[in-house]
Amino acid sequence: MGSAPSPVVRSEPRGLRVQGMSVRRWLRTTPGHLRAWSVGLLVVLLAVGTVVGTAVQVRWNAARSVGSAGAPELVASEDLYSSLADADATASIIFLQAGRESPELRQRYESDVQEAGQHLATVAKDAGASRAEQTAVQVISSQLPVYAGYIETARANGSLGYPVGAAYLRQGSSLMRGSLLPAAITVYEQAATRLDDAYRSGTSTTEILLVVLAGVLLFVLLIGVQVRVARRSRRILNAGLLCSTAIVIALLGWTIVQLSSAQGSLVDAQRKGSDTVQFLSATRILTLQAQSDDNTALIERGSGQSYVTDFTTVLQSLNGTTGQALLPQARLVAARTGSAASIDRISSDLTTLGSTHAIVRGDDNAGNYTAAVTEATGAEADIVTQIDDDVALEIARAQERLDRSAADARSGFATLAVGIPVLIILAGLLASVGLQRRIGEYR
Amino acid sequence: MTRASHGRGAPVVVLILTTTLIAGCASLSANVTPVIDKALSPSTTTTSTTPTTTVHVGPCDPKMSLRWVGPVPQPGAMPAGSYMRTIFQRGLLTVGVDQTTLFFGYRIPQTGEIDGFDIALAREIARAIFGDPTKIELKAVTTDQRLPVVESGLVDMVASQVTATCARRQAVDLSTIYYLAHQKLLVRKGGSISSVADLNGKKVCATAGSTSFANIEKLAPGAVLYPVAVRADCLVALEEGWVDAITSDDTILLGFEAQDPNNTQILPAELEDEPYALATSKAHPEFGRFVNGVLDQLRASGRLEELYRQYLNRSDVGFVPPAAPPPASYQD
Repeated sequence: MGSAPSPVVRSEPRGLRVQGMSVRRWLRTTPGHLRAWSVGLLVVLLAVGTVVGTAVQVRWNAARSVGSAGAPELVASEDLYSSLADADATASIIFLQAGRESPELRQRYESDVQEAGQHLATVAKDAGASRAEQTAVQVISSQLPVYAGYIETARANGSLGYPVGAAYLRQGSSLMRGSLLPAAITVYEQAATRLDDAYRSGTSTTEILLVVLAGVLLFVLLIGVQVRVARRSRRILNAGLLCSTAIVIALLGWTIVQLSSAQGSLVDAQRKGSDTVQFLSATRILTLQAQSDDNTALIERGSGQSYVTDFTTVLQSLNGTTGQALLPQARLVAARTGSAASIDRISSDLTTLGSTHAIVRGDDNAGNYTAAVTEATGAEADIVTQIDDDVALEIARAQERLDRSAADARSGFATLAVGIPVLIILAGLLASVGLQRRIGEYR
Repeated sequence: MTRASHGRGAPVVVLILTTTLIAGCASLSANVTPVIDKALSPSTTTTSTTPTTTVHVGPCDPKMSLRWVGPVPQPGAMPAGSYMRTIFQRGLLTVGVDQTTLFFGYRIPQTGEIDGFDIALAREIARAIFGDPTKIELKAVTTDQRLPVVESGLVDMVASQVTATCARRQAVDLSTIYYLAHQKLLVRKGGSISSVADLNGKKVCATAGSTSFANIEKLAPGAVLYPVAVRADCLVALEEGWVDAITSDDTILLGFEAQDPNNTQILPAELEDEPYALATSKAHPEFGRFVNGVLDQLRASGRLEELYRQYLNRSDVGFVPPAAPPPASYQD
């Protein structure tokens, strides 16, 4: 590589002068031309590098936030909701069983409350928490001990045979349904929205379009420069420019492949992972609500008609025949991963829940209260546990798919992030060297 | 490249959860009764009972009922065409009761069974129809639903400390008086309230649709009323410090005091008479008369006094029931 004397630029009253002539004239000479293209090419290369780098960064961030924040937050907020709803359902069975309370149920209630506290701590740590979410977290953390207090008082009074126990249970249950669960819904909603945003930004067309546009621009410029150089120098090929072009094409190809594959993984994470997680979590939550309804209707004994109505509404929105119901939609989502059969099983268990509910109501309405309680705390509680276990298993599987796809979506970005500046610099160097050779020929 | 618009998950699920929860809460909101302004309270008391201002034909004594003429039929031998016959053929007497009032009508948590004086009395009616006191189906009804469930025919009878008033007699048939209670106040021990005069500006809990609720508005116009749907909710409100006093019948307050004897006490002053009657539908007056016939038998045989002693003798908390039931009083 010959040492190219840098153009002497002197400031004179009549304007810039290069190699003893005005800039305008110098630019009309062949070396002037080549020098200008060389500089222009480098500027465009840098600009394209920046655009591609930024596009990749945006996608990388999106992929990272799905895996590291969005999905775990969604899961934590669902766990929070489930443990609260389960605590409510369990407290109602315990109350119905008063006098022969099972230690397992007592244990389950206590671990529900404890887990709710832990999930709450996880959710509270979320960096991107909105004001609504912070308020909701605060409501839960201040009301959860109050709720537990009511349930404890209900239990203490119940074991003394005092009817005020039922009043405390109802007080606790209305606090749960009136403020704790709605606050948990807010937290859940915010997490779901954030995850959705991450998916949206991780799968939008904008970045890939930008990369393609920048690439086409650079490619056209490189080809144009080579055609010009070939005409002026009567040499067809310039090794430096050719290699630079090849590197640019390779870089663009690599970027597009990486972005598309990450996008594909994110689409998979959503379609096969988090969609299922969401539908099934809602199924779990509503099933628990239905169980609470039936138990509370029995505890209220005759004045609990609103709970019976609520049970019917809940079961309808779970397993109704309309397309609006959760299970038919969950089935469509599950079909993507070939697991529709397990949804069918859950759906048929929900039908069984409907018939045990009918037996409970039938017994209670016929004045056969003891039989109704036995059915509710026996067969009905068993079918709810069955559904809960099945749903939990499917959620765990979907979560695994979600984690795997989210990890896939993140892979490759680190290498590309190093690759982009290296290849852009290399392409710039090669193009400069190639052009410098031609400029040198005019010395 | 397509956007990942397949993910309908989040919004759809959230929508379903939210709407279901809201629907659930809306239907349950009746259980959470906030402190309402005194100005709003009259509407609560009169929602489901007949208006308190009724034009009476002639003087009204709320204690006067309709007589069963002749001998009361033997169990299992209900007259053809009578409502008692209908009940007999159905096989069960349905009775609306309370399940939160210790001693009168309450659910025993250990067994889930409802028991109490009112339930025992209802069983005596079942015994008179079937010869078997267990042929009875209990439905828990809130205080302000006691008359509507009788009017609509949802139950045959209500035995839930219904105070006989002239207004209520317009809506349903009320039996002769089986117990004379008195409206009193329950307060926290060592508190600043020692009489109804101290209630000015204080929060007082009363059950919506009860006579106590209507009375206390007149007796303590300066008090802030806190209505609840279920009687026992008043005790929760007092224990939690949401109210300063509860006003209700001494029979109800007795149960509250027994559940929290260390912290609560009943003030001795009797604010108002609360004569209890069984409620039946005006659609079949022969049943109301039959109930009176059975009550007369229970008074004559001493069974009613026996039930007083069995369920209401709470000398441990300083309560002794009246020695004898009030006499029956008839308008015909």
